[in-house]
Amino acid sequence: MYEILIYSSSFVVEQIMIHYKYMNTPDYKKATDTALMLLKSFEIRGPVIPVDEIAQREGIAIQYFRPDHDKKLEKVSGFFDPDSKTIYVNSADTPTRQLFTIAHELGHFELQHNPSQFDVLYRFATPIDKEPVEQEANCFAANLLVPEEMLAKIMKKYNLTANDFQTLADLFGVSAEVMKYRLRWILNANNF
Amino acid sequence: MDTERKQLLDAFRDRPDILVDLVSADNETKKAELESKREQTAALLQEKKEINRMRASWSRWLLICIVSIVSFDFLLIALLGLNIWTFEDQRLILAFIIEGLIKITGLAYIVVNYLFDKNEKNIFHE
Repeated sequence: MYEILIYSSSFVVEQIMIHYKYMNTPDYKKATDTALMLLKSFEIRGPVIPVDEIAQREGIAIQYFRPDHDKKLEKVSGFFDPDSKTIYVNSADTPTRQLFTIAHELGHFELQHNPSQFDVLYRFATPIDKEPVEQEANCFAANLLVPEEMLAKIMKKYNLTANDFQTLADLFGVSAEVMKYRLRWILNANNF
Repeated sequence: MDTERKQLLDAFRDRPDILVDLVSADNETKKAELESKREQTAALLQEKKEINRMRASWSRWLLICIVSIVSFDFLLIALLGLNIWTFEDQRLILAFIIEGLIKITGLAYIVVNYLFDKNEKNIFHE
């Protein structure tokens, strides 16, 4: 009797742990595949990826806001309002940051994230960035703005290496930080 | 978790003047800047690619020159050593060999100084 109880309780605990692990593990493959499918459907073959046009063609409005010295607004890069299907973007940000914000928020929409799970995207790193949904949205944005295949083709064409991240960032219309992160990710994934 | 979002949306409702039109001149200019930077970088890379192609061609010819000079010097020394060729004045041989060395040094100087641009990276990182 005790054995059955112990076995069943351990089974339940195990299932809860699997569920918890699943819920807390970002699905990078899904994020990557969704971004690539989107690029394919819009027949985009070269940078800079027009993420704002993609978002609008997906039925999402983009609205810019001025922070106007408001401390709360100044901290925010942007956010997605699922009710009005609108991406709000900070107009004071650099164009590269704005593209990333749109791509990140578009990720929440395309990956069908539960609105209660994601919030606003801050200009500086916060603990919220470590949430699985935020990591998935970041992965989606990285794959949308800098697709691996396109990056490899351009690096080969111009004989560039990972050290030329600033040049590559200029070509793709992203910040040097995003390009460095992307190159590191790709090189690690390919065991270089 | 979405309280921050709701607070911001409320702020926008209270102050609609902070919302900027999508096609405002400012954002269009920013997009144009991004595109112009991309075009500029692509043009610089194309130029770099062309220069590298020309450098490859020059390097091949320089290599042919160096190999020819070394081969000639080698042949000269071999012919002299085997007594097939003889010169009455031995200084002539010395002059030939020194001249060959100077030619190689000159070519090496050209290769180092002109084929490899020391400031190459700064073109893109300015």
